[in-house]
Parts: sequence; structure tokens; C-alpha cells
Amino acid sequence: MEENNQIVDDTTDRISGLPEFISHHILSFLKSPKERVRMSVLSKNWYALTASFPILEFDIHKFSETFPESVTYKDLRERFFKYVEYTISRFSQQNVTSAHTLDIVTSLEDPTEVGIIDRCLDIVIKSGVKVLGISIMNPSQGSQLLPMYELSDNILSASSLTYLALFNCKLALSLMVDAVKFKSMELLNLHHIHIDEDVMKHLFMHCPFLEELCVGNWCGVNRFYVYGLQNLQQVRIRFWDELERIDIEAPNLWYLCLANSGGTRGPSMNVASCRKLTTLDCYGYPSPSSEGLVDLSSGFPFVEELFLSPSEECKSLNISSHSLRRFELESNCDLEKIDINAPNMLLFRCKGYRRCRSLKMDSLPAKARMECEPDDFVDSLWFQSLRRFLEKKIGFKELKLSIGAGLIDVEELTVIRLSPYELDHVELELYTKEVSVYESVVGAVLWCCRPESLTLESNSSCTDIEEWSHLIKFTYEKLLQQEDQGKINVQIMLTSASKTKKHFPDLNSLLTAPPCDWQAETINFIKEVVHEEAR
Amino acid sequence: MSTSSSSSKKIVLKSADNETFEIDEIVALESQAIKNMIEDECADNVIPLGNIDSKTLSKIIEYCKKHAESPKKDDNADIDEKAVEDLKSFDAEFAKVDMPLIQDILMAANFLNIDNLIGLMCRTIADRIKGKTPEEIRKILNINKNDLLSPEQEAKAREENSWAFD
Repeated sequence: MEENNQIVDDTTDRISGLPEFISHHILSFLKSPKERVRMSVLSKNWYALTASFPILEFDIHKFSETFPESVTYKDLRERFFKYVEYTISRFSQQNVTSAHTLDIVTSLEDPTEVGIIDRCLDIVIKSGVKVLGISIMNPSQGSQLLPMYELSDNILSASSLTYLALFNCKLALSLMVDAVKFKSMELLNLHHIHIDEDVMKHLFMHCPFLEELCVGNWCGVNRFYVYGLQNLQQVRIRFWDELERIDIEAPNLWYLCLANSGGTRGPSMNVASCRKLTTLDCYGYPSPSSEGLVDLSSGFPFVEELFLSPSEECKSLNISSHSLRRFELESNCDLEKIDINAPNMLLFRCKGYRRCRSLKMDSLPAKARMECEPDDFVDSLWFQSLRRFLEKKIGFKELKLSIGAGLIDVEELTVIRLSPYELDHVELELYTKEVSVYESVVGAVLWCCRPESLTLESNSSCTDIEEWSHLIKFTYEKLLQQEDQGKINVQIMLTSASKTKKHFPDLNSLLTAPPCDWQAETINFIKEVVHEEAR
Repeated sequence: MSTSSSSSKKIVLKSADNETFEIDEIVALESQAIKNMIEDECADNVIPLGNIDSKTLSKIIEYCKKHAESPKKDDNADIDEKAVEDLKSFDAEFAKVDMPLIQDILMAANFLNIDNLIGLMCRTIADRIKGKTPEEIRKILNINKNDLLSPEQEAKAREENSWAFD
């Protein structure tokens, strides 16, 4: 040992004196196997602390990241499984902590590897494991093909399990209707598993307090059904080919997510008895063959929030629901081809596939509001579609457009003799720096609708005061032109990034204000009726 | 000097070296241990903290003040993002102290039961250990010579996973 690494004798390692959970907390931030192994040789104390660390995570991909590419595949696998065995046997030899988590991600290419995984499971099950994840990846090309990893009946004694996640495993447990096995189970996450209907039925019965269920791409079940789970709140299902029918009876289920990746027609759904089912997310469902009609009234009579991402081939959509309040549609489908019959809807968001989904659950607006974020640049045809869509009997009062656009030929639009649709409020967020484009879009928006107030969001970094004043003047005049001469005044409100507001009773008072007052994130135009005495 | 409203209740903490700190009750409540004392009404006007020195205590109060002030998670989502960012950079700055003080803070945070602060100190320690050799880590953690594994034990442990020491 070098001189500067000499350990001073009169001080103590104070962390070792702290409760074990604190040292384990430190270890939890040292995720790489290399760091864990290094920690184990520090001292007697850390040797024991690393052995009793109750979170056992083994991911062969992450493991391989610690090695240079020169290490051969065979060596890597050997080291990985040796490390797994070493860690698990050290854990089994201590009796300080019980196992919390075992999470294994690996492919299995040799029977001895299967044996190691089995032993890991045995040890943690005996030690009262709470969280168990087994993900078996596909073996590398050319390696020996083993039968699908089958979970042994040992798992039935893992009565403290709260979370079980399996990927690519076989589940052929001999579950019988006797004492409940998994009284603590809250979450099941089972994908790409071989299971039959009987095992499925019994498995759910043995998890009476299940709260979340996440399943997909099963093999062996064509009728998926869940009954009598009083605590079940969320269910996510990714369809599989054989799946013909889904039945769910769960009095407290409030969230259901359905995903159809294969483009099959999708199973028949029977969830209408779930009276608390208010939130529904659908991906690739309904499929286009069902003519775009989504009748939620009978299938999902209580749904209030709907997210729908139909496949891109879906060219028309017809939604009807009495209970629907919020509807988010992910589609580039022509607005004109969308029919919505939802008299209680307050928010309709229509976004492209490339736009972010708003996971933020903001409160519903007071008036029916439409928000639109298409993927592609909008053009004059798009504005025509929007105009015709607004006319359908939905009764939107507010509109927000977050769009990208090129120069729009407003002349082409004015030829079409449609009166602008009346709205209370319009917000425009435009992704462009060019003021000429901005003006043409404002022109198209005001061809499309006649709002009482209009907000422009200037998120572009346009700093040219001259150009901005021109845009404001242009918008101001366009808004005035929509109304009878002299009866309407337009006020302007500038809101800065720090949310301070500056108010101007008309255009002139703004134009004569010092430029430092112009720093604005949003520009709000508000029409007001001119009172007689004010003239 | 008091800038906060007169209605807020004050708590006085006394360090091992007999320095007193008057703080708002809301700040003191960041400590689960003090919270329990107050709830059980077994807290006197002055809470003596015989195992925390004034340097450590003032650091801890700085932390609790900041965390008590910042809006809690389930408030408005907009404010949330900014507040979270703000807290993150505060935490990062806060942790820029030497190892002995980090350990002092960790011991005190454990005693006072301040969950977030325990987590922050643990992460800080882990960050300073990352990528270091066992010899370097021993120095960082001040590991006592008498606590080392026997040479045979250590050699065996190293041999089992020799790749970790390349």
C-alpha cells in the first residue's frame, strides 16, 4: 500500500456506526456490480453490509456495460452467473435482513444457468421476498435453445410478495382452491407468458387484494376474465392473437388501458359493470375495420376521460359518449372526418403522434374547449377542415392552436364564403420566427373564427420590435374588421415571462409605450363593446 | 431579528456547544423526531441536541428552511416543476462540503429523522465513492485499520470476482 493510502488509526469509520439501513441506502446508489464488489472488500463491516443488502438486481445487459468489448461473450456470461451465485450465496449466509427484491434480466443458454436462477428463487422465497421480477430475454443467435423458463411451484410459498413481474416465462402452477397464497400481492405484471385459463383464474383468486394488473402477449388464453377483485384499480392489457374476449368485473376499477399492436380486430369487451371506470386509454384500438365508430355509451358507460391513439390507417372516427368530459385524440386524421357526439365534453385535445401527451391532469375548463396540435405544417385546406369541424354540433367556446405553418394563402380561403365561427376565446401558439408567416396564420385563424379575445404566444425568439409592432397592428386591425365599425374597441394586454401584466386600452397607447414595456410572452387582444359615453 | 409573521410559533434548538437557534415551528417539523416531540407535547421551549454541534446544526437548519418553504408535491403542477428544479440545485450546492461534515450531517439527520436529508447525504457519499479503488474508498470513509478483513479473507473475496478490481 502506498504511503498516502495509509489508514489513520485514531479515527473511526462513523458510517459503520449508523443503522444498517443507512449503509444500505448508500449502497443503493452504487448500482454497478463492480462498485458493489469493491465495497465488499473495504472492511469486515462493509463485507457484512454488502452481504445483507436486500435488493438483489442482476441484469446481464447492465453487467456487460462494465466490461470492455474485448471480453468475449462466453466469459461475460460466466462472470455474470458467477457473480449472481456469489452474491446470492453470501446473502443466504447472513441472517440480518430478509430479501426485499430479486430482479433478474438475462437470457438462458445453458441448463446450469437455469439451475442458478432456480436456486436464487428458492433462497429469496425462503427469505420472504416482496418484489420479484424475472425477465428472460431471447438467447443469442446460434446458442442452444432451451425450453421456456418455467416457474416452479415454490413460488406458491412466497406469501409476502407484493409485486410479481414475469417476462417470457411459463406459468403452470398447481394452484388449487385452498388457502389464499398471495395475501400481500398488489401488482401483477405478466407479459409473454405461457399460461392457461385455469391457472389464470386461480392465480387471480389467490391475489384477493390485487390493485394493479398489467398483462400482454399471452399464450394459452383466449378469454381473459377478472372477477371479484375488490381492490383492483388499474388494468393494462396488450392484446394477443388468440384473445377473443375480455371480461372484467371490478367495482373499484377506475383506469383501463388497452393496446393493440398486432393490428388484429381486437377482442370483444365486457367491462360495462365497472361503475368507477372513468379513465380509458386506447392504443391502436379500435381498429380501422370497425369503420371508425366508437360507441362508448354501451361498452364504457362511465368513462369521463378518454385517450385514443388509433392506428395511422384509421381515417375516420365517430365517437359517441354521454359521460365523456375530456377526450384526447392522437391522430393525424382529417378533422372533417371526425364526428364527436359527446354533449358533456369540456376538453377535446387533438394532437399528432409526434406531439407529447399531456399527462398533467389539469382541471377541466369551464367552457367547452378544443386544443389542437397537429404534427405537420398546416395549410389552407387544414383551416377549411377546422372550420367545418367547428360547425359540427359540439359547441366549442374556446380554441387553442399549437401549430407549425408555412405561408398560408389567405386569399384562397376568402373565396370560400363561410362566415367565421363565433368563439369566446382563441389562443395561438405558432412555431415560426417569420412575421410574414405569423401574419398569414393570424389571417387564416380569423377567417376561420371570430373570437371575443385572442391570445398570441410568442415563444419564438423574435426580438425585432419593428416586426412585432407590425404583427400586433395587423392582428389588431383584423380583429376590428370582424366587427361593426366603431362599436367595438380592442384592448391589449402584454404578459411577461414573470407573469406581470401590462394593460393598454388601445393600439396607440401600446405603440407609444417605451420598447422596454414590450417584453411579452403572450399578447392578449380583448374585444369590448364601446359604451355610448366613451365615444 | 424576525422577518416572518408574528403568528408563527417558534422553536429553540440548542446545540452541543450551547449555541441556541430560534426557528419557525414549520421549519422544525421537517424533522420527524422533533415533530413527534411536539405532538407528544414533550418538547420544552428549548430542545437540547447534545450530540449535534453548532456548525452541523446551522447547516441542517439551512436545509430544513429551504425544504419547508418550497411548495409540496401535490400543489399546482406548474409551480411544481420550477420548485423541484430549484430544490435540486439547492441540494447540489448544499452537498458541496467536506467529508467529515457530510458524515456529521448524516449522523444528525439520522438522529433528527429527516428522510430527505439522509437520502441526500447517502447519495453524496456514494457519488464520491463511485469509480474509486477500495484503497481510495477506505481513505474517504476513514475505515479503521482494525476493521479490515484478514489478508486471506480479502484475497479470497477479490479472487471470486477479480474482474471488479481491474
